Amino acid sequence: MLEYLKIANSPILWISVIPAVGVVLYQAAAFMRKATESGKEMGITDEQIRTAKKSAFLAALGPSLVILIGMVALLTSMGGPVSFMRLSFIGSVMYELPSADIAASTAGSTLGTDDMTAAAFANAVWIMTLCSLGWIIVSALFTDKMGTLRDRVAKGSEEVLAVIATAGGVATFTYQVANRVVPGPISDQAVACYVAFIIMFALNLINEKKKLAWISQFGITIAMISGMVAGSFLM
Amino acid sequence: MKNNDIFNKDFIPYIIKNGRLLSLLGMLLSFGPGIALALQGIFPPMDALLAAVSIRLPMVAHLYITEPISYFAVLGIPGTYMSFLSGNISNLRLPCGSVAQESAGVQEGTDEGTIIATIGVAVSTFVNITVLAIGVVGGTYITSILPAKVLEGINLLIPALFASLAANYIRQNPKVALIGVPLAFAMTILGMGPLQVLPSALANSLPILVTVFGTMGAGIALAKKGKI
Repeated sequence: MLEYLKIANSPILWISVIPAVGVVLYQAAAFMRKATESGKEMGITDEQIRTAKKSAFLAALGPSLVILIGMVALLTSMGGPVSFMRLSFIGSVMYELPSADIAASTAGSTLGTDDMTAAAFANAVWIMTLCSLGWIIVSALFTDKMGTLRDRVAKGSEEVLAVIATAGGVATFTYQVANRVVPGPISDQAVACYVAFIIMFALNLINEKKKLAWISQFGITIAMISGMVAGSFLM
Repeated sequence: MKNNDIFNKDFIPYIIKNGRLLSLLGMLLSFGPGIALALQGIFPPMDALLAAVSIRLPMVAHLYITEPISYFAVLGIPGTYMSFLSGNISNLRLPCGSVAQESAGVQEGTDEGTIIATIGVAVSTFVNITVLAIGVVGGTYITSILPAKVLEGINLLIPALFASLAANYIRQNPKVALIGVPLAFAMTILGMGPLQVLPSALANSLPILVTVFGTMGAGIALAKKGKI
């Protein structure tokens, strides 16, 4: 084993990442408890909360698997603790890998090869940290202001609030799809998009007529897996 | 207390106070591994660090602004604090927040929607961290027994997820989609072509910002005219 990997997987490194992951877990638990309490007082039913949890759980499995694969790609060069922390914390699987890669290169090493050094490893750790701070700074400073701004635009109209949210959803997800379809309209990614889109759209239409509980809960998972399988025929 | 008061006078103040505090705490704790290395006398070479920052920062800096703005409407205040601390937003937090709201039958963007989105994002955090914890122990083994093609295929889950969610939103609000969908495609084409002459930070952020604000603007205009 390379010398620096002993450090990268050492107990001290594990200890150093636990507080960060701990804060994420603490926040999720605390906010969920508060939301459940307040939600019940506001008249949200136990059944609604249970359904929300169940569908969020199912929807989280697929993406978590993709993140896991990203983590495994990082593991060999960055060790367990740092890989585990970075993918549970500020940033994303799309952000961390290139960051580590660039940092290793500027330190004269190549990520995932034998020429990685302790200095290149340290460089990657610092770059992944420093270049992700912007997200949390913006979120810490401006989240409440975005709320105020939105409420000012909506002026208390539930209809406008709802349309802002659905318009945001239409825009961001269609944009993500366009980004994958435009460069190669018959690529594996594009086909995955087409198939998932058609199936989800059809399931929505069926659900509007027949109100089937399984569609609300498993619809996304079914569409997502179908898209993946269809797209992989083009790989 | 009325529903409105429970939400605005108790829930949201609690979230803002703790959200801000935990973000600052998270910012400090993110230096953990860097400090652990420094204590052992391991530092990044200064020139390599500066070079990497100067390459990487311009590639991601526009996301600090565009992501919170684009995703806020779906995530709400609590969801935004949680998502930016835990990361993997577009590919995990946002879908879970959205699916939770849809399945619970609450209207997104409303107080009830925000409550349910909070629960959805929290659940995604538990799932994500649990899967990673299992993976950090057995992940190398699991991936070594799976064929490379399967691993590549799994990466197609994310584009498929985006398309499924696009289908949901388009179905929810077809009138807004009539404007939003062409706009998203037009801005993508412009962004990959003509807009590349702009400075890269602008060329990268302009298409998504125009798409998001253009679609929201059109939606608000339609709603105010009572056409939605």
